[in-house]
Amino acid sequence: MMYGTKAIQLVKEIANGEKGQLTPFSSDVFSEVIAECSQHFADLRSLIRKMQEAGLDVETTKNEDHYGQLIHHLSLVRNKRCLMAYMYNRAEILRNLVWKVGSEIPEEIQEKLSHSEKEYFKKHSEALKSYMSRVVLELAVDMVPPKDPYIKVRVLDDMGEVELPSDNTANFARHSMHFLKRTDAEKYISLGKMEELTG
Amino acid sequence: MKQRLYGAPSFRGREKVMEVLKCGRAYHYQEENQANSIYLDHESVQEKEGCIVRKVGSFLKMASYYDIDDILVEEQRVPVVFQQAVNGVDIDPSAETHCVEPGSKVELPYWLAHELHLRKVAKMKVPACFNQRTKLELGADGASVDLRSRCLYFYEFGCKIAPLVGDRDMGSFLLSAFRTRYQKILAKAHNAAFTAHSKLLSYLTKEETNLFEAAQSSMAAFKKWRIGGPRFERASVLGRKRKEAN
Repeated sequence: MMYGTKAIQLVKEIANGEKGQLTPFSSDVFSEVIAECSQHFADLRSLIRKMQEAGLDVETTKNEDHYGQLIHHLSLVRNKRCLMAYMYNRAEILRNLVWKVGSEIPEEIQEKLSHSEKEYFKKHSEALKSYMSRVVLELAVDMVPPKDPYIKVRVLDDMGEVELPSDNTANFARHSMHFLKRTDAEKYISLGKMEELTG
Repeated sequence: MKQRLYGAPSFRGREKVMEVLKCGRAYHYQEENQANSIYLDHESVQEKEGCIVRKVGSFLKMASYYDIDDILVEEQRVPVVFQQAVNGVDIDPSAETHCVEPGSKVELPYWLAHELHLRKVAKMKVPACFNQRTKLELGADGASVDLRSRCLYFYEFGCKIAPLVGDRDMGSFLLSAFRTRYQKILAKAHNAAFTAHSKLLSYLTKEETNLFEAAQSSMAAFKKWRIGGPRFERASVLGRKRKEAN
């Protein structure tokens, strides 16, 4: 099997997924690629040892063992790039998610994350929160200034008594309609628990 | 960014054209250089050539370390002929030992072939998707050639290959192919009904599909803006809403 085919599976997973959507973390393939990296490293070391035992200068001799080392090295670097790109592109989706839905990970996303990604999500949202409280500005709200500070919404999911950021409480029973402050409603709409009514 | 596509050629499209141009130019520069230095000894010419090739190579490569498409471009297979013997690797499927003999022909992914080519361990050959037949077909009726089945990353791969395999027409060939196809894609994306797309889409490379989708989404955004609608929507990252059981 050609080197790096496992790693390209991970990259294809990102490429074939719908844009901006997370797929479950492929921990099996991920650790297989890491095992492949260790194998390349071991092969590389044994080729170096072989040259040293023959009394050759490892840095200047360009024989067939040297080129073998080169190929193992390149494969290692390639695998690393694939792994990094996999993590990086998932982390990017997560960062966007923090801005959209706030500090709680929605259930359907939670099950797709690895342990370190959950940790990353938590820390990123904490950092964002502390920054916003330092500059005293709510940065996650809609960028377009509203024509009306209030909007009409319909509740899609039974939530019961809820305390709103503007210090009111409201009873969000399923299918009930409310007239809310825009800033209060935004979070629930992006979580899919409410929809905006127009007209 | 996507909205800009409506009407005028997009920024992305132009970027692509520039990239293709750069490739062509880089090759000509290399050739000129070679012609000027006829009186230099053979080795220094080779060194200069290698240096330019490496510069172009690293310029294209460093574009985006984390870019998923760039990684997939570099996974494309290239036929190579080994010039040196290599020990302790399993890349030649026809070999029975863990060695590669000089002169053996192997298909390697670009990321490996390209480094070996620059170090003169193996020599790259023009991949099958840029053969004479494809060139003739693209020259005859570029817009209706099925490039997707030949190479999903036809242009990007061509850009990377061009300075290495010594095909001096590659740059202009890619550019003219892209230009003819781009026109048709844009016209179709703005006009045709959704059902008519599936045939066209099965011909397009990844880059062209992106252009097509950008053009369509700009049309959709324009229509939405004209009709009006709610500003807030469920976050798209959560996926489509599941149908509830009752």
